[in-house]
Amino acid sequence: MKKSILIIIAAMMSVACEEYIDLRREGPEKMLVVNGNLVAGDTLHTVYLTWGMYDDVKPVEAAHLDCYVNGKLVTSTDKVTEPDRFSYYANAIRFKAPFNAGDEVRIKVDAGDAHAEVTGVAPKAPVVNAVDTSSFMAKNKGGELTGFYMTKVHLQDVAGERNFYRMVMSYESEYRASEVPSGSPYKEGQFLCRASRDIVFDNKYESLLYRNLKTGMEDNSSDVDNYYANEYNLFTDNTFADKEYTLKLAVEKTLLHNYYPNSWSRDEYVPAEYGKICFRVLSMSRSTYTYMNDYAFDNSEQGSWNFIDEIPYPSNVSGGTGMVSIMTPADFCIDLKKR
Amino acid sequence: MRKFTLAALTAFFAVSLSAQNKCTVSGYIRDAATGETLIGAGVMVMMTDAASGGKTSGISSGTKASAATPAANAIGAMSAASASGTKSEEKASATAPGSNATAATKAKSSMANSKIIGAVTNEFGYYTITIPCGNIDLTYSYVGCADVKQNIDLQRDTVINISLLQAASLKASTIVGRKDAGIQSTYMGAMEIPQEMIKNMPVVLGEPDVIKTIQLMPGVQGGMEGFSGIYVRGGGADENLMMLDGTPLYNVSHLLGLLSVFTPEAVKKVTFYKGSFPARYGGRVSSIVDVRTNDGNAKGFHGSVSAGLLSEKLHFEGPIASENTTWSFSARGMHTFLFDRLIKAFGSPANYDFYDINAKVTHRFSDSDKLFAGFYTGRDYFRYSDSDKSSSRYYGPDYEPYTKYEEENTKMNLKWGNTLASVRWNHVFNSKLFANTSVSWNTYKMNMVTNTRELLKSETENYDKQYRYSYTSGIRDLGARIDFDYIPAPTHLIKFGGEFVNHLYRPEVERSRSINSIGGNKETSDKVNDASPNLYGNELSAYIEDDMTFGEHFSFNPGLHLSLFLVNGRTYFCPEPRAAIKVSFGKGWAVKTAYSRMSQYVHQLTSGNLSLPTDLWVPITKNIKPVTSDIVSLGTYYSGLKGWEFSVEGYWKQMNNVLEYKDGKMSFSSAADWEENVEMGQGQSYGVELYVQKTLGRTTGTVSYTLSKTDRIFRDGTINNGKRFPFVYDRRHNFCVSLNQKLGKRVDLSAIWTIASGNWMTVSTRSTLTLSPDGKGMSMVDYISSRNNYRLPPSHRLDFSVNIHKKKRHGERIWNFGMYNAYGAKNPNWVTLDSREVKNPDTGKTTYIPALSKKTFLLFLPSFSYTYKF
Repeated sequence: MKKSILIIIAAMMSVACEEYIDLRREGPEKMLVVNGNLVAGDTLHTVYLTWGMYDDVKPVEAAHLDCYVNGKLVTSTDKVTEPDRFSYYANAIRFKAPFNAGDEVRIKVDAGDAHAEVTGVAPKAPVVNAVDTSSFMAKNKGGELTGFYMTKVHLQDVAGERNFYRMVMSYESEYRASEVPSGSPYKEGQFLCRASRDIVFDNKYESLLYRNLKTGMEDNSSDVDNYYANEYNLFTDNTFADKEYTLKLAVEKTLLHNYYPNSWSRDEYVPAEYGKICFRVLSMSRSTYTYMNDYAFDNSEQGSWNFIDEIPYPSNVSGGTGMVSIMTPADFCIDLKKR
Repeated sequence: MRKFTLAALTAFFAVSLSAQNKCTVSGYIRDAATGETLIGAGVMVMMTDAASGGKTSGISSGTKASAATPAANAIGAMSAASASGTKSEEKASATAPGSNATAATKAKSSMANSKIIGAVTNEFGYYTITIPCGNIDLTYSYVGCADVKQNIDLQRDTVINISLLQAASLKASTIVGRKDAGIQSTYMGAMEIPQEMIKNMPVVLGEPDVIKTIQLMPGVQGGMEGFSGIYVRGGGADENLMMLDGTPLYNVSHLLGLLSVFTPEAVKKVTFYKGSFPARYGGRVSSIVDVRTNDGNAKGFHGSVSAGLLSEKLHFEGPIASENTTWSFSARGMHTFLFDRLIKAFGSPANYDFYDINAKVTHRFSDSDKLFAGFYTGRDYFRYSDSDKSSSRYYGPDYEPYTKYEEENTKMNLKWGNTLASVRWNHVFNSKLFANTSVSWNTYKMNMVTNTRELLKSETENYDKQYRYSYTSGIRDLGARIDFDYIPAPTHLIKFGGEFVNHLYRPEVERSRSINSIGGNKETSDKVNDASPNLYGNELSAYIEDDMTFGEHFSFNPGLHLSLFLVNGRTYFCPEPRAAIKVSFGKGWAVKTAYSRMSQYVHQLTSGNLSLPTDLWVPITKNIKPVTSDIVSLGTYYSGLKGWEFSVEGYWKQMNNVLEYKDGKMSFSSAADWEENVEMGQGQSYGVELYVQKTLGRTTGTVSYTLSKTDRIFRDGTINNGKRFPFVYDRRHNFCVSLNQKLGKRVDLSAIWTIASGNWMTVSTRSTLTLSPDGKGMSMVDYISSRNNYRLPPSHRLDFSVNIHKKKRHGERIWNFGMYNAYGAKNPNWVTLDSREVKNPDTGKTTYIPALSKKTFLLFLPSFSYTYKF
């Protein structure tokens, strides 16, 4: 009897039902999605075009793009191509549009019945006043003791406004012929080629970039996919508004090398690498900064938690959605010794 | 400033002089059956014009109906004379409610030239009234009690302690005075929740609950259905100050919020403020829930024992040695004997239980001095224990068989709860000045301990890995408070006082120990992670308010609450002005308006809709500023119909520095980075609330309707790109009817029907593409137009319960049967984003479309309980 009562009570308490509520479809079946990272000073730019649909996305096959700088039409093109990196999601339009800090950039895209427009002003860039370097030994992410370059970038904030930045570092090599034996068609010091690549520097030495948190991560997990490791090195001038700030960036010396891309022979020359570290501080709008942070979070381990609501990404595209970021760089390079 | 001081002094002396030739009657009003002091009980004197010149006229009991109208405006009184009074302990004969018609007619005729002076007992049952000296008739009254009339020849200040007998049938209080809450008070949005209402309310699993009763009030939105969270006038769940005998409680939930910690048997009275806040309250910006507990029965040993579907309860009270010392003890515990069996029947390794204990001792040294010592403790326990053992036979390289023994044990204990202790001292200095002094200690602690062990024994391998992890968080308050009631003149009731609270926040401490024995080697490692070290906050506050009456039709209550919070070497100061005005137009009509500013120095970091033990209370910091709210209200009230009360209140509320998790950054129950994950913004709420209450007769009940709109905006763009969005509990319409019907002497029926607009939810409506910051990656993601962009369907339900009473030889037996969601409305108890399979009837092709999965688990939920009172 007692058992029966318990079973009845349990059954009553576990009565539950599940129903589905279909979500209302809002807006047109296809929405034009325009994305791009436009950098002042670069002459060639790319925007990516996608159709955002209820349950899927697909590349835009045909579109027309007009680009205006300070109200003047500088590009008009309808050449839609595949992006540099193959994507199922988007096609690209590449176009020339030289612009500088303070210029207003307007992009109009027409695809099918859709018309999307983006307008933005290239922000002012900070100034890299100086860069100091030093060397030290420390453990790398793999736990091995290795040599590091510590570079201190003295950055002057853009005065009078709130600023949003991204720090990018690259390594650029120039190869010249050396140890040229007699009889070789090459001359000592002859230019051979250039190579360049972005460097993933160690941002743990800079508290502005690396937040020492692993919230939402497994205890012993590495920083891969940790949102707070700030993979894209986004930061604001909150702590140094209108002032100079020294960013401390460490890079493993072993990373400062590009492989010579051509075949060579000691009978002709030995390629000598003349390297330089280049710093680029990209200045951007608040919405671009938020968008990039959202992207970083969405693609982190923390962002993959099921309990988290989806993020309403900011958009500067009227008539569609997406983010065409208009950024202005401040560049500075340091020449390294010949290797 | 000098002019202002002079004006204030002139006004003060003017009111003092006007009080000459008057006498003061003061004392305690008690329940005759229990000796318990009555909060909000009234004392009234009706005076003719002649009497007001020095001669009083008696009143007949028939005047009580008229006296209940707001036209009979409260004029609490206190004489300026300080002659030592005579003391009399009276147990006057009770006058049965509903008096003879002749008396009523006489009284009616005398009403034309008469006025009523009334006063109401404070939260300690103490009253004081100043009236012209002479022969007078005093009438004492309380809800559910028969009126007591007392004729005295008043020649000097007099103390009268009175006891009221319970009435045969429920009736309304006939006295109007300076009530702290309800339609007669000057305050707006202030409601008294009687214990009977709490006990009779049909609720889920038949567990009467203070907070769920408050959910039925206008302007209050419940959180998740069936659970006890409250969201008041657009405020957050952590913006409600829950006080037990004047001391704040931090965690008021059991069972993830299914129940609150207030044991109904221990509760004497609940007062709920949501609009104009009396100046003596501070610390939260949306509501105050002031729960007062029983002092104990002075007449004899009494109590009740009850068992229900979820818990068993007991309540005992009585005198110690004499009527001057009383005690009260209540305990509630979850049915582990029932749930243990259920859980085991399902093969679950987890178990849960909780308990609450309330205890109180009261000692009356004299009519002027009373001491209270109160204690509360409550705990929730969650346990998990699982073990997996196996033994297998293997063959070694030389084909010799050997046995491998493996064992895995996991144990987790999670416990959390509050403990509170307080001592209060009431002292009556004289007939003008009453003081309450209290000291309190209050702590909330959560502790989780997990032990895991992996053991392997074989000829080839041998290891024993043990890992112990503990997580502790908590908060501790030490407080001292003093409150004064000072009545310098009949037209003033000045309340002032101050409080100091030392807060200790200990958001997170993690400790781990691992012991690994591999082969013969043993390694031990200990790790302590104090994610957010101890943080002290000191809160100092002072307040003053004056409940002033001007004639019979106008009352004005200005107040000021000043608070100072010191944390991390930083000081925050918040002046909080308050004001309430009431204008009575006669025939039961009144209009009130009020303004209140509130501030709050703590936040609760929650993980969603449920009340979880890991929800952390954290103080404001140098970056996170105090939350403030400004509330303006305007309302009209009618109580001219006997036994009915009607009110319509409109409000507008602006909240500053409200916190929300940034987009995507929620559910991280960690204090270490909480500032990183939240953002400060503004909230706005406005609405109209209608409330009808029937208080007399065999049928009583309430009707409430709220039309409101609440939103949030975070201008820095980290939430919803800086655009305004609706608050998650912005329910546009909320309608509720509750009914209590007495069916004869033995049976009463309670029912509630409620319907409310759905909550908001963030859902995607299409797909889109995002580009990585370096331009090298793309992600297909859900497109979200804005936060909280989807309103869930409305929810509605009918709950009812039946109480069957039977007198037994030594007491009364009560059976309660209830049904929650009686017609099985499929309300959205739990909603998640999902997809639904759709088959095209033409092509037979199956596709998935985005949909919300709505789960309803509170369907046809019956309950029963058995109570024996003696």
